[in-house]
Amino acid sequence: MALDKLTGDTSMLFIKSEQFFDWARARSLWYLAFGIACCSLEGLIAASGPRFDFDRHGVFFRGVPRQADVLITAGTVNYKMAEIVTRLYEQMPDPKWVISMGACSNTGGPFREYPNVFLGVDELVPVDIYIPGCPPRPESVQYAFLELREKIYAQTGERLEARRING
Amino acid sequence: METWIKHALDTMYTDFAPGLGPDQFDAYDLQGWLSPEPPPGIVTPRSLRRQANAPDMLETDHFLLNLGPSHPAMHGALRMLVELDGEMVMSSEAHVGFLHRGIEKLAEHRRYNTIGTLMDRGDYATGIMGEWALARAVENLGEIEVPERAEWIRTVVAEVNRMASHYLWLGPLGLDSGAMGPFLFMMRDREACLETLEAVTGSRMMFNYVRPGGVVFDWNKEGNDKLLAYLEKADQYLDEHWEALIGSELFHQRVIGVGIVPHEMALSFAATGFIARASGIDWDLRRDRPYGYYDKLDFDVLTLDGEDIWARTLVRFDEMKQSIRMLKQLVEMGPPPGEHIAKLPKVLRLPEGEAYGSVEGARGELGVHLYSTGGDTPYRMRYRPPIQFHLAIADTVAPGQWLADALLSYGSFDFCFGEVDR
Ligand code: SF4
Repeated sequence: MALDKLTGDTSMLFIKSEQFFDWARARSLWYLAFGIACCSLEGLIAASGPRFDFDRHGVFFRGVPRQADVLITAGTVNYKMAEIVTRLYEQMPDPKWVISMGACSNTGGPFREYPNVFLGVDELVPVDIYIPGCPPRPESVQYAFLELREKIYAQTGERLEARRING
Repeated sequence: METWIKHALDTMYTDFAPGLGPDQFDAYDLQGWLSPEPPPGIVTPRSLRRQANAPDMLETDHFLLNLGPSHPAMHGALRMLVELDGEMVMSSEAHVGFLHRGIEKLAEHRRYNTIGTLMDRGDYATGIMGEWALARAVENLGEIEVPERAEWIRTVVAEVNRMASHYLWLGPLGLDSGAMGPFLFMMRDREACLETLEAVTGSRMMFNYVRPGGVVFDWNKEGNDKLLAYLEKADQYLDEHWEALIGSELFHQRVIGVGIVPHEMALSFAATGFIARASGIDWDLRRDRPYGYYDKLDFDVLTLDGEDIWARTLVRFDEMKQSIRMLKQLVEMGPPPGEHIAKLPKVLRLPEGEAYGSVEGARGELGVHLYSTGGDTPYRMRYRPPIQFHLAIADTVAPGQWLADALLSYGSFDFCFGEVDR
């Protein structure tokens, strides 16, 4: 839930700490600068450039998994790379999210018939958002981040609701 | 829960021990790694066994540093294993294969006019070049006549794509040398190139536009307008880049005399493109084996004997200037009348035999060798990526440099891993 919806007419702010933290997290989603293949030119490089400027959404790249919130799997993952993707995911601190970018990372894409290629990165790490396309345009990646933000808010609501019901 | 207990830069993070999953690592006594004998079952790389010694006769320990495939200073899915003595690189080993996805094999099961999709994804920064190399191989084998108009369009899109790719190299080279600002400006200009390409071909990166016999869509007005708008600003843009990055003294101090590729090494490692031209090999396919529309154009090829990153920067910067010059001439000539694609059967069958076709890609000679047994698919396709040869050079010239310089010198080779691993 966005902060402005919570404050209403009054200037006082009543918010559960959990909601507050999730609000803050959803507005500074830092992704790991981990380009695997062609998709990284669109999703990581063009995205940080001046035209698409993801920085205005609080989305910025980090070089180290320890500082990242989001893993964008931008490219074809093969058996040699699979281990790296899993380890990078494990090195990221909780809470963390995964965006699967491009046909390759969703299903194997144009290289699906080749036995060395993973048929979707969701066999390795839990994926939150899938972006179709080969390569998806940077706008699609932007949209994915907006969707991810909504998803984070929704999850907070669900968590709080579940706790209220179960005591 | 975190199961991974070691750091990514640790020597343990290797593929020398392929059978080890993350959960097995705590079975090892971590202190064991400090002892001279590695734990059983793990093969230490050759370089680790070297005797430690430093110029000042103090005993130092050599340190193995694992750069990549996820490392902020590595471009693409490359893993460099460097051995350091203090900050001096003693040896460097490239590990490839992180992006192997069988382009050559898959091509054996695709019809000739669909292999272009794979070539796009091989050399993904300059898709047009790969498509063109394939189209030339097919045309050589099938003796297909290409209409003038198609050659004109191909030359234009190839030069625009070359500009886009060079921006993508110069910007990150600036980043590696510590300049963030120029990178953002180059991304602005790259978008201008990509918009032109999008208007002409319909896609920003994966074009599938150049096909055997011609190009898919005719030259259109929107693309023409975008190109003109870009060309109007292009010279000014290049001057800006010169002032912001290349002309700056800070950049000179980082690149002059760094990453030296001697002339003999460039020759013996089969370097092509800007690496060769920066090491004194005067060779450019566009001039020496003209194809497309290049024989009708007036352009210069800059060759330097500098052998270092500075020479490579100058060579590439000059290439960008020449591209703009060529584009201006091409626009002035205008597209010749006629068809944009030759009349070909829908399913193209080539005669038995083999043929090679190559173009001067953004990074060097990009070639395709086809072997046909007469069907509608090739029997074997060989992709000649220039970067694969340059990777061997990068590996060889790194020892003896400071780590920061070695990183810059890796960056200066403009790796594109779709091409190397294929
Ligand atoms: S989806 Fe397409 S653009 Fe993205 S990595 Fe795969 S082949 Fe490359």
